[in-house]
Amino acid sequence: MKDGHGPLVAFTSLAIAGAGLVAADAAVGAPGESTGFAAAGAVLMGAGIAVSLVHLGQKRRAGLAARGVGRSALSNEAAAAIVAALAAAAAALFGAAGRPNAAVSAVAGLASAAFLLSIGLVYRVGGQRTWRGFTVATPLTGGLAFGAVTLHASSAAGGIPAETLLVVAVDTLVFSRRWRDIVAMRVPAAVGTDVWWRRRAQALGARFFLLDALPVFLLATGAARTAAICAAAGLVVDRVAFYALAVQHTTEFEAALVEERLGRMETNP
Amino acid sequence: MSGEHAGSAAGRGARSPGAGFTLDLHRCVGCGACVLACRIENGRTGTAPWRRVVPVNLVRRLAGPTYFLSVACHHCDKPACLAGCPSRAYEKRADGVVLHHAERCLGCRYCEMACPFGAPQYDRDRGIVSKCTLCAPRLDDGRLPACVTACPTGALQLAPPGRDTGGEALRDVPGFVDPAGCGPSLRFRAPAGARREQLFRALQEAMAR
Repeated sequence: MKDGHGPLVAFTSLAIAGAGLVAADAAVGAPGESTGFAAAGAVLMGAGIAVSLVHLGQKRRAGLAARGVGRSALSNEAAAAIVAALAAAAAALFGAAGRPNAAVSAVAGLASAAFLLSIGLVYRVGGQRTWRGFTVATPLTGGLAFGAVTLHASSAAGGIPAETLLVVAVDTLVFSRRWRDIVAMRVPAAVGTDVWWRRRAQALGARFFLLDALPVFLLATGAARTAAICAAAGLVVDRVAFYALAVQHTTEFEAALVEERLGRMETNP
Repeated sequence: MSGEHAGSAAGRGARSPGAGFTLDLHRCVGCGACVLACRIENGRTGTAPWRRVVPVNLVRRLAGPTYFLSVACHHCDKPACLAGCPSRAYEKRADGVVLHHAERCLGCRYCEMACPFGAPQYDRDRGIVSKCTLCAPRLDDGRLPACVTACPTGALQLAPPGRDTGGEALRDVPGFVDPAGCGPSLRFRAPAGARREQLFRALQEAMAR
């Protein structure tokens, strides 16, 4: 993993887990009734926001991040994070006061979904080859999958609801496209020697098994708590692999590709 | 010399209206004087340089030429750093120069991720990024950037704003791309010779596929 990405892994893992819980609660749960998820989501998102400050070189200037709202994807993400965390906290407070409010919970769910989407959009930058395409949607689909699995794992109901299966299936579909793109990607030999890059299929496969496949199997077999732990581990693996597999398309990258093309032209004129 | 410039018609283009550099690949010998001058002018002797020289080594392969890409910030038409910066630390001046204001920088390094040319450099000690200013203070004094002044062969030149470098300047050559659609201001004068021209065309066509 590249220098400085550790705090970003922690931030996005916490934030996606928190927002995923709140959004899934609104989408497939019973919003307004399960105030524990709103509270847990607010705490996780708050912790994520706090951790995100660690990666700043100038932490005291963090407030300046709001200057680019509407123009910078990073500013939009920061604003969406704060709105989603506050909305989740409000939903939790209504619940704690004994007056659960379905409308506030629905707003918190929508804000959390928007925050998850904004996380994906931050990394949609032209120069990063592995952060394009379907990767943009994986924070949203992965967060919802984690939330749906955890939501169901905490309920006393047996079996797997169709909504949970649908959310996990959508994440599997989106992620499989991302997997295909990254595994098939050609990079210069210098990049290809990176240990993460050489084992990208396994890293992405671990994410799929931990976040999608295994939790469904465990839920079906009644091991609900283990399913939620697996999904959380899958979320962390997703974020580690996301940053570890970053491939920036620079002049050096392109020069290396040109030399390799020449080598192939020489071999097969 | 204009008649000797290689490249397909599709690769040619008028330069952007902003200030930037023109690099004559036929003249650049890869000496690194531009890198050293940049380091000295901007006091970057102990940190990552703003300018670097990337060799594209064709000698090892087809007994062709090696050429060098002397690259720094390209002061793009649509800078990815400026578009992504959450604290509006970047500014594009009327003359096209893209400046970074250190006092507004959060040190989030998003511009590092967004720039496809690796121009912004993170300074761990200061906790902020920095990049080539096109020697804006020198420009304002009517002088040329330090790298241009130091180039012993005249390969690296300043293309002033609003001045077309002529129809022969290439927007891209093998080894240099604009994957993010930023519109880099750097223009090239390509090596001469039928074999080189053939090679450039083959590579450009291969890259276009």
